[in-house]
Amino acid sequence: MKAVTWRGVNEIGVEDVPEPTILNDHDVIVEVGLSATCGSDLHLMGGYIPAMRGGDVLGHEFMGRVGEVGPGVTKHQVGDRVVVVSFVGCGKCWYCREGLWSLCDNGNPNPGLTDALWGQGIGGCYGKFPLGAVMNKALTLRGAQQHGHRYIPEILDRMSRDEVKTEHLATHVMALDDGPEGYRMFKEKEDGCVRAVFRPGG
Amino acid sequence: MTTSLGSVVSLAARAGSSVVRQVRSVVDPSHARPAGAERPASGWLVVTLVGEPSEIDTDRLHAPLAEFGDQLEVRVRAAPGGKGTELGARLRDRPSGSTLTRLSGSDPRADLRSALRRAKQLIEVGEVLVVDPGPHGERAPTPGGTLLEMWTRVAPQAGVR
Repeated sequence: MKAVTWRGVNEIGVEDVPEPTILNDHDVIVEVGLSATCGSDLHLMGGYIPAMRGGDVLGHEFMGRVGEVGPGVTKHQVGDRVVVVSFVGCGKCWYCREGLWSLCDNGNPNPGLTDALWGQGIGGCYGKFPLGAVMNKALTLRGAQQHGHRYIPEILDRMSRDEVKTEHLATHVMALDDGPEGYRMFKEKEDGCVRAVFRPGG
Repeated sequence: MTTSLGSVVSLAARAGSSVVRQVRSVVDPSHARPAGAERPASGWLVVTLVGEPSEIDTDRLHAPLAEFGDQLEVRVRAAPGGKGTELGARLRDRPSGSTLTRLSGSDPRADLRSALRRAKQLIEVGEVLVVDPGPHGERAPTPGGTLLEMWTRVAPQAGVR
């Protein structure tokens, strides 16, 4: 599949990358319809995150259709339209049950380093999401990000009733091939760019 | 800039955890108390689980912990603030490693640290999260990339305590 990738400091590319596969029983594979730039991506672009490697796939705020489900998935089936929150939430730990999804105990596969830095592993995220956001904002506790899962149902409901409008946020909708240009415009705030949104389908 | 900031934070965290250990050994010396006859046991490693203490059967531990057999001492108690259950484990006849070996996942308790984390996921979720291999573009061999791969290999075993 085609993906927007980080190639180096302020250098964004478009590459063919391997297709994803189901690794966990509770995985789903989403065929991305739209993927947005996020302010957090600017930390990645600018080279502030030591863990970045050339070839890393960018984009952690997206929506699309479920294309494949793991054997443990009961909530979704192939064809469902979904909006994805970047934080990995197991849905079972104390934090997830309390609606504190971004503090999930079981979503970080490499907890050793952040155990050392903050006393406990921070939450894990889909794709590349900057640990640097925590450092740069001088936050000292786990993640401290928005518990997006909690609010999405309400936001979708309000959008369906036309009470929340989002068109003004997606100022530049473009093809995935224009990813490098979209990220540049987003960074420079060129042409009034609030968010660049990419359509992998063209 | 972030790298140097990270180094400072890391150093502060190590210094801080060392101070915490010293204070804790004075306030509550039980964590350093020998479990066997002569050799000291390793300190307790603890995870907090959702659910009641009665739901954990220490005679039938999950596979990652059961593999340690008699080497392992297990403690179960209610977590503070109604936040579930604390499952603690320590090795009977093995001392704790140094700060450096703990952070690099090469101390005597490295395997136990990993086993405890996996057991928590098995108890709460029913499976252990796997994230690799994930799709990525062309990789160029770089010193930073090599370091990152080394860290990713040891991270499941690494920790502060």
